[in-house]
Amino acid sequence: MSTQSIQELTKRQYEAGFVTDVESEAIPPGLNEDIIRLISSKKGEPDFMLEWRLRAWRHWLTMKEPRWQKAEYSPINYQDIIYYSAPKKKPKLDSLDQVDPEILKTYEKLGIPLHEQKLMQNVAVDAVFDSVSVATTFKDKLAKAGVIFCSFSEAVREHPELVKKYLGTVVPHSDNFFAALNSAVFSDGSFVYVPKGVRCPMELSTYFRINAENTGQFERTLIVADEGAYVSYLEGCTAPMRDTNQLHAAVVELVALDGATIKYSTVQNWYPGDEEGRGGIYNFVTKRGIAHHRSKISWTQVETGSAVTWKYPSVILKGDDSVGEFYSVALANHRQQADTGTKMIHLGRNSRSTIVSKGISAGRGQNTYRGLVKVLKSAEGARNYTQCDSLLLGSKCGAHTLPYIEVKNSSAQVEHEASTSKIGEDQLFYCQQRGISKEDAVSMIVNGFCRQVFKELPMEFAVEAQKLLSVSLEGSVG
Amino acid sequence: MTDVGLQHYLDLAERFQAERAAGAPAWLRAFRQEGIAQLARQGFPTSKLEDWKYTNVSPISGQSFSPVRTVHEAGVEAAVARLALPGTGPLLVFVDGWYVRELSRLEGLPAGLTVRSLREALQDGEPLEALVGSRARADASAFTALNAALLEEGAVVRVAPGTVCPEPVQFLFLSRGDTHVALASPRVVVRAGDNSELTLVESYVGAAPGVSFTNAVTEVVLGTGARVTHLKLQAESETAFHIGGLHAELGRDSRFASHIISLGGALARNEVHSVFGAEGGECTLQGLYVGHGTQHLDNWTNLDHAHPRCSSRELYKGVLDDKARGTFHGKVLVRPDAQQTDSRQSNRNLLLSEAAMADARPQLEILADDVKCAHGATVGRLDEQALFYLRSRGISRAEAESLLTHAFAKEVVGAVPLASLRDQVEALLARKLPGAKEGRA
Repeated sequence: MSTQSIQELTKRQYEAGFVTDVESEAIPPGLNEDIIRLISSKKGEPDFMLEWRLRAWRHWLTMKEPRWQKAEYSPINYQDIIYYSAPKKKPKLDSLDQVDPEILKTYEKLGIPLHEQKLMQNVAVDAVFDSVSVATTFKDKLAKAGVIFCSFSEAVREHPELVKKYLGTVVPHSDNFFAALNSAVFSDGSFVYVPKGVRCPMELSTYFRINAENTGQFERTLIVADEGAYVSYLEGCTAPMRDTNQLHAAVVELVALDGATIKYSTVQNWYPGDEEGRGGIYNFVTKRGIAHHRSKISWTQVETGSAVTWKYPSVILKGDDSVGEFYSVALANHRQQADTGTKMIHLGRNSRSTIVSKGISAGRGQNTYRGLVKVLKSAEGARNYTQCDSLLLGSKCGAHTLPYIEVKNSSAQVEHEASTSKIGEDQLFYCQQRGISKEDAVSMIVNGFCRQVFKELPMEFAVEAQKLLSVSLEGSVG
Repeated sequence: MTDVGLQHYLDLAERFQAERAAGAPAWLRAFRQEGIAQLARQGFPTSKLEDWKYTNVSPISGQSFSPVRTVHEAGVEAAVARLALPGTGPLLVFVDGWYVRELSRLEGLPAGLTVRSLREALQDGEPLEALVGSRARADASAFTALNAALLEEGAVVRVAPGTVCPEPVQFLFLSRGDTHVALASPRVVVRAGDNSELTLVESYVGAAPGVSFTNAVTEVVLGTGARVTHLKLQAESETAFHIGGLHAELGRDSRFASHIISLGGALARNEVHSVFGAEGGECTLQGLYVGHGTQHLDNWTNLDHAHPRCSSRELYKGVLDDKARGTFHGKVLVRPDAQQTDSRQSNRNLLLSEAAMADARPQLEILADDVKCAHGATVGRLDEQALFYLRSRGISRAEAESLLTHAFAKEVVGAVPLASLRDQVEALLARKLPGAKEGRA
């Protein structure tokens, strides 16, 4: 690896870093019961929502912030955070012309302008700009199929019975410190309901962005696939450059009823902080799905951003013959710290799970895979295959693999494999000898390393993910 | 863990310290005092501690085990004759943790090898402060602290540079089993000089069923180019408790191998802490744990690649029947400058019954980039296809299961580099492994 190209990598600036100048309607920073009541009333929520928030808040007060993860970060002052912020010109728009041109420009800079997305026929975009949905497209087409795809606030207003039935059933308000905080103060998010036997006619996608300074994002996503339904959901994230750390504590709940399939894909590219680790997002997310009989939940994630990432998309394999999958590429560059992995809890007979995790560490980045495969007594014939590979670029980074395997049923078959390696001089030499430039060779090898995961992504995302990875690592090695 | 339980051990240690204060050198008093302080500070581990996640030690902390002083009896002599490995090499016999000179064999040691009982060495005022506790620090765990607080029994083994010891040094730790409170806290300290070679065997065996607690610590320091093989057989009665910590530091270009066969104990935990103290070392860690009934067998290893160009190989296999539970924790830490580390770790568990349990927790922490590290862990039952293959050739199911189970264990047993111990382990396995009897019938 040449020193020069490593320097190029470390100097690489965050390309999505800019601030959009939109007036935000924010409430004062701080957290107390009044703020929660205020959030709830601002959103015009029914009583059950407020009660639920308050229950979570009271529970949160009794909890301690966990510190067991590998990551180190400066303490978070929860009273410094603004818990609600919405763009002032609250839009109820029929077409993109009515959207604030500043916002449209932001998306253009990111290379994901809405009108282009609109042309992509198969992608409906529910764009979350800060905390309130700005525009929703393709609603009609989805409505015809009976699919409900809307912002969480809208779902609370229009479909309270569904929200009430499923909210908190996978991630209860008392689940963990950050989930409890999210439950108390969550501002918005997405809601998807796919009725019985319906195959959602298009990929659903939401772009989350963190915008107004000092505004933590507390998204809440709930996806319910009724019996035999199919839905593929895409989540992509970028955030502008900031100096102060921002907290992002989202919760995602997936419910796959009998025979349903949910595919959840994420590309996360939030601001990772500068070379010295200043600024950057704290990404503490709780993602979990529950899979009933013969259903399938598949998580695919490409994590390249955030100063600290701490998330474990998990599947509770409750039903017989249920399937859980986790495909992950995590990149930690500069001083980024990623502690991510999955939990597969096998309860159902013949439940199966696959875990493929690819960690790339560069600069002074620290990458940790932490995963749990738990086979309970009832999970006759359960099967798990886990593969965790780490690639180290540079001598100052770290890669950690911490799997937990707990088996309480002898008919289970659980396999775990992990390896750590660097790009070999011989591999580079082999490519260069055949006329491939060093940089291309590195990109080729890294892409090959992540291939198993990328091929699980929907096509549009696979392109974006590959681009993101090569941008993040351009000229880094070789 | 209960406060009452901890208090018993603290009182015990304080009394022990007071009784032996007279004539004890300052370092020894300070060493025991540090043990007491650490035990008081840490308390017994709970399952909330990551390192003790799968093991509940309340059966130990909740009982009042105490050291016992024994005199040798006729029955003990017969047990020693039965359980010691055949051969004429050095043998140290401990009964309930108490060194028995009459039953030991320490004459005719080769030049360059000195083996002494720790109690005798302390009584003679040997300056041991640089040796004892050099690797196993009292703050490592409550059990290491307890061992330090009760430091008295054990052995000191020194091998002069260049000495090649032809015969293994054997330690036989015998629990008589007739007393229900015996606490044995032996500490074995080994210093292998540059380019020396030594094989050690530690056998922990029970003469009769009984409830005893062995809390052993072994410290091995290898000089440049030294080769040490440490073999441990833990075959105490299935009502006994055993916590053992093996701490090794490898000098430049040295080789250390540890083979642990864990068969006995209601609750047994074998810890291995291995640190590369210089470049070029090679470390092999192997283990076999075979549990049935309600046995809980815990295996905990920590390999610290603190220096470049070291390699390690680790293989731990578990066979678990009935309601037995086996756990494996294997940490490999590659420190920032430990380039060209080559580390491989494998943990495989065979579950023979519906209620058997296995937990595997391999951990790789890598802070250097030019390394080759891999680990693997599996949990499963016997391969149906292999069983079918054997049965289609007229072998009964029981016999086929026995064959495959023995074959599974053989990988570790066969690698034990001492024929007499291997034979002993195979005899024990033939009795213990399920299906064995039907298989041979």
